[in-house]
Amino acid sequence: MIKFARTTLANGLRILVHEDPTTSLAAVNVLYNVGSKHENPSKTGMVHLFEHLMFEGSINIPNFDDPLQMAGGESNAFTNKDHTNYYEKLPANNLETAFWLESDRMLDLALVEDKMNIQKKVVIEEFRETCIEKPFGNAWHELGEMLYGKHPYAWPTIGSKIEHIEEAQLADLQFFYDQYYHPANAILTVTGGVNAEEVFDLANKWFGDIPGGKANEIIIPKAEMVKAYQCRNLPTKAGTDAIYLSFLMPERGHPDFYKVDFITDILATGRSARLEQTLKKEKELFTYIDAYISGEMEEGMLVVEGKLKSGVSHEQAADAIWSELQLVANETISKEEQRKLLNKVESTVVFGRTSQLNISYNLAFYELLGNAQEINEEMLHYRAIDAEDVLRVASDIFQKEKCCQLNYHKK
Amino acid sequence: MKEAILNRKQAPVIRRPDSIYFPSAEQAKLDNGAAVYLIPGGTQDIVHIEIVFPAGKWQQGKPEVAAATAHLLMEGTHKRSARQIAERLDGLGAHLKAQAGTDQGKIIFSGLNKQLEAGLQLIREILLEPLFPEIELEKHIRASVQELEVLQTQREWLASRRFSEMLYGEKHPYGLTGEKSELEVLTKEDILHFYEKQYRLTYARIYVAGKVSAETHLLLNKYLGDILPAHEPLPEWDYPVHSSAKRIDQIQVDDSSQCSILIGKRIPVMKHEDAPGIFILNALLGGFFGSRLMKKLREEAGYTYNVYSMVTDLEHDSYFFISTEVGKHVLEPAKKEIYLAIRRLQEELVSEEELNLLTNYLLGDMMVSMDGPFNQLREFEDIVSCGLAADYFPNFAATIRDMSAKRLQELAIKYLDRESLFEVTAGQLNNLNE
Repeated sequence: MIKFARTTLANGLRILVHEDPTTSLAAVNVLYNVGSKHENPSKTGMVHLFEHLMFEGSINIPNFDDPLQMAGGESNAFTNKDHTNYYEKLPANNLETAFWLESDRMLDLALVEDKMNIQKKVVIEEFRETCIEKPFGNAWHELGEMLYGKHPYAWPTIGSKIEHIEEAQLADLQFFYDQYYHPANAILTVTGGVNAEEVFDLANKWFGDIPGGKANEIIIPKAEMVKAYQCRNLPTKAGTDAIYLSFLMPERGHPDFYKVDFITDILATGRSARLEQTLKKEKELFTYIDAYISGEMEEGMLVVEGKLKSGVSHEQAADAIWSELQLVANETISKEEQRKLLNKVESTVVFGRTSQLNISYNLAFYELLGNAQEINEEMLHYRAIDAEDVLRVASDIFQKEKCCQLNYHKK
Repeated sequence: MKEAILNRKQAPVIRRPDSIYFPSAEQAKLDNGAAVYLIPGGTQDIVHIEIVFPAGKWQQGKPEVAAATAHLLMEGTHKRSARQIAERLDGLGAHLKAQAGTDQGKIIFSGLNKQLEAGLQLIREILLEPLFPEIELEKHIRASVQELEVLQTQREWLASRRFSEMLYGEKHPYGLTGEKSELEVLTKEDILHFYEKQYRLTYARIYVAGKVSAETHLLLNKYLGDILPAHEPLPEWDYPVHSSAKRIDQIQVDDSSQCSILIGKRIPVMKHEDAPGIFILNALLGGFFGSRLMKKLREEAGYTYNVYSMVTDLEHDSYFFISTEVGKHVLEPAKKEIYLAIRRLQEELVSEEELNLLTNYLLGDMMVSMDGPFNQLREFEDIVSCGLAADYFPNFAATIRDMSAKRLQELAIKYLDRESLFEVTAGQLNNLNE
């Protein structure tokens, strides 16, 4: 059980604290409710590029990282389709340094042209490294386009193309900053060797006078159901053929969300999972196979991903995957298999609680979803799943006409 | 009471990170002589165990045997098929894997404490009664050959293979990277022979971290204390190092928008008196976000998404390298900046402010790496593997605190001579024939 204290400042900033007296370190997490789904489709990649600029100095502090490192700490951030998340890990007795830094870049950033230009280059190299050079790095561009059409989940967080990053204007970034970077649109969580009351006092001191602004209330339209099977064939220099089958799934908060996650557990969690045992080990059709959900707030995707054994065709590979998907949809899962998977999920949940950064991020994420207490209720959702649910949800998702397929062919 | 207006230009007072918790492990032996290191702690009721055998590339004699043996340990016992082992483990909700690296073969278990006894039973069975089925060996060979073919298309892998060959020679265990021909001649006899010789618990070190108690030791001894003793001392292996005479090499990889750069050399082993200082020097050069290379190549020039340098300590040798992926149009300027950064370390004293930042960062980083039993296990394993004991940690912290600009410069002059560095670039290179 993760215990936490929670408060809200007058300007709307939400603060959550989890105390862990066994450590002398603290983790600080600041989540902003803005992700790539809030971008304009003709100017994608802005939110992520902006994340880079958050490290380039703020109104009163010319360099973000130096003082933090001087305090023995380290920082990083990530952006996804739903939100942008910044975090620090540092000795708990230097906690105030993190508050000073995070509050100043929430108050006002020192956005300048030449720093933006350098970070554009950095992000373009990131795009090259992760989406062009990395094997199958463009899969998310391709799958996103096929599954989502005009929905803002269609493009990956880094942006739909390099040109969008090149063309970014300071004004666009300033717009994002003014619109979304303020206390009412942020969640601050602190975990580790800290005292909740002291954290609240510090938060009030450093964040209390920042003007509140208006929380992001943009409603993202529902993704339209895929109506016809789509398949794309692409070359790869990765030296192996690969296949991706993807399906839209319900949003977080939908009663079936955890059931879909559990279905991918049946397929691919653990060494004894079905895809691994049947398709990789017994039939030797794949050298690697996995199934997972993207787990986002809006309608995410369920993906089955495999690397083909030499000599296996994409058609054979797809048929073999489909036969496993149909098995989940048509045959009731045994009590024993269900119990095995629940043990596995429990173990994952417990191990997740050994990382302060993980706890602080999850508290913020559940708070964003509407209820931080959910951090302690994950297991209940999995335990509540019955075998009939699995059949119903799997039959609904695993339909050929709802599938978007990507075949990679080695050169 | 009205509060004073906040002066945001004024940084809060910083306390030097000095509350580092130096782990100590409770040491014990099992009846067969296996050394046990118990590292208690943590908030969750979980346990992590690593059983380390002298069963890596260093001891294998024949290439690829160590990796195949570790893989096949999980692929069937006289009582259970591979699938049944997997079912049993997943049924417990525990993780168990076997893997081999350069110097070691390892069994790694993690699970909830309530699964520990069942986990140890299974580990006992895997270690004592492995079947090494021919059919699984054949599958392993096929899969490894394909994996190798895939790796051979990857620029970063090609560069790193060439780099280790240049440092150690391709016959040295630290230079070996696997060949199809070596995989194809593996036999069950090779595996059995290696297993019989090396998977002896008398030679093993067992690290246990998490919610451990006196009972944990009893359980370990019950399931692992009476099997696989060794009756002779562990032999010593020695391999001559044949570094390449050519210090600069290039690999053409068509159709790449980026180039890989690797620059580095062998350095004194972890036990050497200069090693802690070299670690600190490495951090200044490229060991963290505020390092010279990161600031220059990424934050000032935008040549790369990431550049870093690091020290790798193996049991019998250590090396250091700088690694980055840069846009191919900036390959030459990026290399120039890397060598300039090295030269600056030799020619200029680091400022007091930068030195303070570096050492504070490193002390904080040490706190992070010592935080919680699972991190402590990793740290402990590293030092024990290199023949060091727990006093290494406070000594290392003292070296950080006492580091001077002059000492860093001396180390840079002594160890970062440009003529001593090896360099590999891989990518779509235009000047190969120049």
